[in-house]
Amino acid sequence: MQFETPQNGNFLAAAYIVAAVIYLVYAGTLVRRAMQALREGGREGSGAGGQ
Amino acid sequence: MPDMLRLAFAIAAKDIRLELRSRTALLSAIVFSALVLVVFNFARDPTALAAIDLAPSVLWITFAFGAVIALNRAFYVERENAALDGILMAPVPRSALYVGKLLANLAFVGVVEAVALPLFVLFFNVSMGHALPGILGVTALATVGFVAVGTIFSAMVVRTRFAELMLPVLLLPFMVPPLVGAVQVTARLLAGRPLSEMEGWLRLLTAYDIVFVTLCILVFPAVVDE
Amino acid sequence: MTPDLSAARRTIRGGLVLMTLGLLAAAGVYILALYYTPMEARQGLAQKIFYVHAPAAWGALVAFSVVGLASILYLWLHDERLDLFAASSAEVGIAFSMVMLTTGPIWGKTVWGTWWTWDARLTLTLFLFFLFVAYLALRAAVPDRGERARFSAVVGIMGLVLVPFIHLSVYLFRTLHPQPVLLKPSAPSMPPEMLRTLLSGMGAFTLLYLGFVMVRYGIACAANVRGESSNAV
Repeated sequence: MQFETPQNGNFLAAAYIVAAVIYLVYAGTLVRRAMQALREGGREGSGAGGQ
Repeated sequence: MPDMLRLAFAIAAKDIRLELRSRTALLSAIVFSALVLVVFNFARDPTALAAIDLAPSVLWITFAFGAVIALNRAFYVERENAALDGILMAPVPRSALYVGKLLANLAFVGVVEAVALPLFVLFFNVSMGHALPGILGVTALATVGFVAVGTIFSAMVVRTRFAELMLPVLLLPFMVPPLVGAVQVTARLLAGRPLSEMEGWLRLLTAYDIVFVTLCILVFPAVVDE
Repeated sequence: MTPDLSAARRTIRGGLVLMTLGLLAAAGVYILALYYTPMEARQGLAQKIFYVHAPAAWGALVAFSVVGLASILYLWLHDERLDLFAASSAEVGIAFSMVMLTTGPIWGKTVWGTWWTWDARLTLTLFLFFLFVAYLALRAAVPDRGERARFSAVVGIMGLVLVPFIHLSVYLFRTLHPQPVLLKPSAPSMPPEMLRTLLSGMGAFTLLYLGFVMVRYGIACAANVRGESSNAV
């Protein structure tokens, strides 16, 4: 019984890219908020500088 | 235990009496359900599907949305009169307070359903006859599920902003299991299927009710106490 | 009084390290999946979506379980940190659910011919997504911290109890309406490369989950210490 392998590499690319974008964008928002939460306003208690 | 029940009934009776006095919320919920049925009639293509195929879904979506509307009113009376704080200061066991609220809400939603059901039969020309006792039974089962969870959420949500929006957002995911069960059982009842075909769904409905009423009684204190 | 952010700072730093490692590990999994793992002849290249899709579903489930567990512990112990941790996990859970709910239909289109089907995993993850959103929406609507924590914990616990009922509903539904069979390599007959890639994926994305949660938790702690609402969770 012969079957033909479907040509769906585009779907693979789309899924991998969408996933990567979601994770990276989320990571980005976390980094931005981490900077915000640590840097602005509050005086450092231990004197260590921001990253 | 009997004391708790007596207290619960007293709380429920007070709520129901309060509601009967003003009646605006009750009437609005009834009118809303009737309107949903009317909209359904115009939202379907009568040539495409027989009324009987859609009937269980139409009925239960009407019941579900009617219940959500009705539940919104559950704690408003309290909030308006700050009466809840008064009750909470008295040494009332929280379980009695929850069950009392549950019973009052069940009565309230029950009235809405009692009006919506005959309207449904009328508008959609569904002959219920033999199936009626079963339909009443499954309605009671599923409604307990809706209202048990709805009572807790409406208690939480009443003091938030956008309360009318928060309640459905929280409640609808929880209404899915009883809703699915109710639609499946109703469909089989209307088709005159034997009880054996509904067993799984009925067990789902019953288990849901038992589990969630118990759970809600257990967590209710966290909602009303500091 | 100077707010003491040292604990939050440590948590965030640790979290950022884990997160970076997780992202690198995830990139490694991508490479493994694309170049090392053999192609499944019947499904074509798109089958490899599985190596990103399955860990995302797993991540969402882990995130949800953590919310539930932390909620139970909060109602028992009343430690505010449990509440902040639960809420952080909910936010991370949204990210993982979104990945699962996007890669799933893309893969599904190639296997089933339709973008969506009410199969057990997709349906459950959809519910998790809605529950995460409802949980966070409720938090945003309750200004008082203690009340917010208590209400969230109640929703977290109720959500946890809801999951088996969703499972049961889907199962009962499916035995009546047979769903298209998902062609995916089943564990026993999976070639070792596929299994290795899958396990690596699970590990990498679990690491990523931990990194995300720690950073988010650290941010929430910092906002909490400062009494800010902007980065509160």
